[in-house]
Amino acid sequence: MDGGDHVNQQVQRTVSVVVAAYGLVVIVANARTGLFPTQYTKDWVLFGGGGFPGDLGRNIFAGSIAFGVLLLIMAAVVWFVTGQPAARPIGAVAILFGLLLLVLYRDSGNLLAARPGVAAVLVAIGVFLVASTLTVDQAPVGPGARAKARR
Amino acid sequence: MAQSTQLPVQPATRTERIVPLVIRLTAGLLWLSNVGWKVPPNFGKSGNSCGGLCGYVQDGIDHGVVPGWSWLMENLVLPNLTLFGYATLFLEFTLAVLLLTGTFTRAAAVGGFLQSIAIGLSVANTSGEWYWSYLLMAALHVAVFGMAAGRYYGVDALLRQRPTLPRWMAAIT
Repeated sequence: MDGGDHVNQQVQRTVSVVVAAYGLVVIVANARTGLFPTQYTKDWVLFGGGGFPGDLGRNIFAGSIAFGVLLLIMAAVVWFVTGQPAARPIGAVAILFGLLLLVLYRDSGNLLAARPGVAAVLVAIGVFLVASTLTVDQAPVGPGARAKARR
Repeated sequence: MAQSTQLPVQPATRTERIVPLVIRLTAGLLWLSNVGWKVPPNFGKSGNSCGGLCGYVQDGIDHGVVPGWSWLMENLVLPNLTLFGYATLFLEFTLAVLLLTGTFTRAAAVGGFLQSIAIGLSVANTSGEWYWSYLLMAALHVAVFGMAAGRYYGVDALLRQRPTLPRWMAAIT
């Protein structure tokens, strides 16, 4: 995924760290709304101001503590599972759950208070996981991959 | 000697790889941050009031850029706002996912370009709007297309390594 032939470990770890950081910001920004809210955040910890960057932040990080925790779990999955066969079903589930959140999106609220922006991020993580298995036969990645490749 | 069936990957310096990534992520975040205010099932229409997406459609009728477009908005889009609202929601959601991951990036760039033009034709003449915003949005997607920006740090790079990649899929990556 570096313009070369496979998802290298640097890309894998970078994506994992970015997803974890994103999840942490979601947790902090939506902390006042509770763990499992269905109502969207109105009392923001971050991004409370109008215009830029408040408006941008509210659109990109609108979720809940539970959704942020889910993203942290996905970050761990990306770190440990990318490129392995298990990445495909896990990625598919992430894609389907993200699409479910989109379908359930209503003005009155949503599962995990997830607006489409954060649902799109979850689907993107799922796409990354599924795609990482495309070249799994050519170049395994993840813990122990180099040792496996040498065998 | 067997001829490789893999598509060639252009050599690139770090800068030549990073710039398309930044351009592509910017386009992805553009859609990601704007998909949330297309709220189903009414998309801003409530009784006699018309806000949100409905308000933008109304602006397209009241402040038309080209005559035919205003007619389309009034006679096709507004009466079927729920259908077009869902289409907009799913299109912009998909654009965000594809551009952020670098998947089928050239197809996403075409979709983003057309959606930018559609939005511009609807609201460019509305008071407070800067018509150059929509021209720049369209140009951003032209750049994504021209750079084939998914081929570096994107899923397209993986897809293009597959020897059995269909020609149509090669064209949109």
